Amino acid sequence: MQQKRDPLALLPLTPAMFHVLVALADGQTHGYAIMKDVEQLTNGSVRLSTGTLYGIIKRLLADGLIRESIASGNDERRRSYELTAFGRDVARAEAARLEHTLAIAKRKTLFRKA
Amino acid sequence: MFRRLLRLFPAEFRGDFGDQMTDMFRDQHTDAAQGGLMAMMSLWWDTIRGIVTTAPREHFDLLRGDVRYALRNLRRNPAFTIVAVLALAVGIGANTAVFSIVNGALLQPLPYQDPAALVTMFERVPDAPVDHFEFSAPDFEIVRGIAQSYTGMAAYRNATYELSGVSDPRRLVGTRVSPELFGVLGVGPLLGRALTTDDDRTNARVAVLTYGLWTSAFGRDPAVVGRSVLLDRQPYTVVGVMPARFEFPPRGSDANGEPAALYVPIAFSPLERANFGGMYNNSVVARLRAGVSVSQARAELSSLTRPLAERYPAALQELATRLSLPMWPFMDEVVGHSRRMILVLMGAVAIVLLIGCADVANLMLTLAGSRQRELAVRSALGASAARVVRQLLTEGFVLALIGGAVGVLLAYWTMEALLAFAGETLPRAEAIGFDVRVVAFAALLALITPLVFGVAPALRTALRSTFDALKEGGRGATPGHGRQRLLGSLVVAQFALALMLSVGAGLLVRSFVRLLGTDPGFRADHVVTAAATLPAGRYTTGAQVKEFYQQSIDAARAVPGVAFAGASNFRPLAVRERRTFTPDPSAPPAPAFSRVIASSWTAGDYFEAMGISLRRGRFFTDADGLNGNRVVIISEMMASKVWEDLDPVGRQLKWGGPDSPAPWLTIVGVVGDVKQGALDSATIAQTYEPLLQVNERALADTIIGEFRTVNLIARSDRDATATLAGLRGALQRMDPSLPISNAAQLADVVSESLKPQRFSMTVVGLFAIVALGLAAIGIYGVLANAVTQQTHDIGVRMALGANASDVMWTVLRRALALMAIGVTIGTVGALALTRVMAGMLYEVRPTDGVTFAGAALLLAALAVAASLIPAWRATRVDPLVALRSE
Repeated sequence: MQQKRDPLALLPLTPAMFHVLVALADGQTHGYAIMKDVEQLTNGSVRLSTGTLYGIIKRLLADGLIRESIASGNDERRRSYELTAFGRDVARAEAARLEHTLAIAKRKTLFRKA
Repeated sequence: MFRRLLRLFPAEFRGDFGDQMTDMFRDQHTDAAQGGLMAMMSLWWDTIRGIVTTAPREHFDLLRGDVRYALRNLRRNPAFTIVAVLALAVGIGANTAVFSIVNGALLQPLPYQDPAALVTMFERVPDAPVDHFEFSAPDFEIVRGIAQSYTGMAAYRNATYELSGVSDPRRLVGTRVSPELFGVLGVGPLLGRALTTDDDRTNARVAVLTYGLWTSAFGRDPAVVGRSVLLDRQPYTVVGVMPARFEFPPRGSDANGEPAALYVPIAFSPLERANFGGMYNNSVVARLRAGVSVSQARAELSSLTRPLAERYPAALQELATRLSLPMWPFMDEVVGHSRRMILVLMGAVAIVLLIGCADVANLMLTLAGSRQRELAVRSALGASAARVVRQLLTEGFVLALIGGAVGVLLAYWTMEALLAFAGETLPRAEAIGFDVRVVAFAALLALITPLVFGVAPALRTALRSTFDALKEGGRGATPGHGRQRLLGSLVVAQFALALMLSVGAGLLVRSFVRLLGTDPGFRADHVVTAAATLPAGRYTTGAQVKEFYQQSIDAARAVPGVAFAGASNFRPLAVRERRTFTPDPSAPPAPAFSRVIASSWTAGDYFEAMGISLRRGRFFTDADGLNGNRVVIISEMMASKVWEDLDPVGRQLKWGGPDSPAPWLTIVGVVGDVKQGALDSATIAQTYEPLLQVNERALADTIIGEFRTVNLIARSDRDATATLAGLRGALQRMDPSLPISNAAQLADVVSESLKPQRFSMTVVGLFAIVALGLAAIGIYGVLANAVTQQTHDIGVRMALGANASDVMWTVLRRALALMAIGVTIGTVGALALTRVMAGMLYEVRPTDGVTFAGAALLLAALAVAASLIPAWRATRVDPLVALRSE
């Protein structure tokens, strides 16, 4: 049933949501790692607080974009998350959407680098 | 510390992610510790900001889910939803409607600048027939001249004027005011100017219009200032128009309490200025100087009675030395008489709402019984007790919001109906309406009521453990004893509240019946009355006034079917004149101030037409008052008070004190006592004089205009409507442009005088009926539910040989037991509460046994009636079916 869901229906994602999905693209990981990853990927410009991060995780879980990973490695207490197939589609779709938006913007002289 | 912050999130969210978040924070904390103080501070700052901004969103998400879930539940139980919404709508609606009255009449400040600094003052004489009375012109001017506590003091007096020369002639209320009035109230004119001291000194014929009159008679013509109009057929110039919000005098005070359409200078005449000891008819409003308190001003006023008395003439010193000058805030004068009534209404609707809440609580508990399994499943799936409470309370709020919305609609209609019904009996009726505050009040009720009716069922449900529910869930049978007890106590509370309200309503009804049975002293059946006020511009001399009286009576006699026709200068039940008199030396001595009596003047066959009974002597004849032989008729009460056992016929009295130059009047008859005011007012001694013997100057007077209103009275055995039409026609033929007022059957005049009592009785009565209905729903619901739940038990008992009447009795016994407890508690409550109603009752004590017993019986009947259907259903239980469903 999930395969039939249209990834485009969830777009656009908030930047924070998108970054979380991107951080999870390399495989399962836990909350703190996601946060640090996002910070690194954005050169420190996006810093998620615990409240914001888990709010996003809750919504991503509810929408079926991520799931708790079953093989949770050596640390039993720490729950990890991983992308679902649908989540991957959504992230891809969002990336495509952003690229497209950027391409439009670049056609305008104003945005060309001098 | 971090854990405490997490409490800001909903419990569910905390349960899902709390541990992880704590772990993560610990990691962050460890990292930050290496980064030093700055890193630590920035971590805390980010974390706190993040939590504070995300937590509300989580709550909102949850709320949205709960609301959706609640709506689905309500849709699934339409009967429950409809009854609950209606019970709440009626309760909230009634409360909001009455609050609109409280708001408009009691809470809104009067529409003047700094109204809290406005006071009113009166004069008082001990043992007089009235507690206090208005100021006479000389007393007002003396007090105004020496009092220091005020920035301004104004006198005013209502009169009626015939307005013509604009549209159809009409009679309207105008107030004669001191020019200072507008300054005292702090309200200036919208157009033109207010009245000036020059206007007052020269008695200028100038008028200031209210916005309402400007609109209705002049179509808001901006050029109205300077225009000439006819008031009582004399030319007046419009000099100003007041703003829309301005209203004066405010409706509500005893005297001069009707809002005017225009204002003219009071311009005391030399006659008024010299009239010490009489014409106490000017109301006073004054503004306290900044920093002067009411009690300081009161102290000053009481020190002024001495200089005031010194200015009184020697002959009146006995009266003057006894004068005192009471004062109180202007607002108290306006609303003081009705405050109690309005608060009783508020109490009544509060009871209605509480009973409604108990109904909804009952329904929710009952419903929770059938939902026990669903809730148990939710708990088993991990919903915490707090979560379930939250869900149930959300349902309560949704119900209350729907009920509140419907209630506001109901309230609007109820308020309109109350205003239409109450008319002028409510103070400041013009200020009553819907505003932000009224709607906010309704919203507040909708927010509070779920806490009243929802908490008990929610807690009760949540506290029952999953284990309990699943254990007894098998056949959804007998609910726990705990819940039955809770349901029972709600019903008891409903009965107690319903009893209190029924007692209140019952007392008002008893009091009203007493009032209806009061003998006004005349026979109102088959009598009609109509009045015309003679404008000064057309009827300038006393002879013209006299002639109009005589001709109109003759014309009334000519109306087919009229047996007797007469006239008086006062409308029945509205005799305003009070005088002191001196009897001839045959009467035992008594101080003059206790000899204040009512007096009125009559013409034609007034006594016969009114049906006033003759006790001694004779009525007036057409010859009385013509031949210089001055006569008077006195009331029975006056005869026994003044002459005790002596026959007063043939004895004499005169107006004023012993030294008064007034002529002696010879008593020719004694008549039965007649009420001077509304049926609930105390009757005082009274005299009647033939109008024809009043001197022409007094008849022509326009200052008080005491004789200028001709109140025709006709007794006829024909249809009242036809007689009234005949009377109207007769008056109109005499002066086609004369507006006719107060045309009515005398019985309606009597009934009108009971308007305040009828209003409170009917409204409290209606609320009591609603309350009883809601209480009946409560007991019915509880019993019906109990019977359904106990079908199995009943089946067993019937199988074991119990007959129908046993079963029925079981159900009834429970209803009656609950009723008895409720009535007992309610009686105690009613004894405490109805005491505040003492002032509203006429010849009925607030502890009236008949009323209490009646209310208890009524509730017993209600309990039986409400339990009949469930009881009957219980007897129809088929033992076989009941047991088979096992």
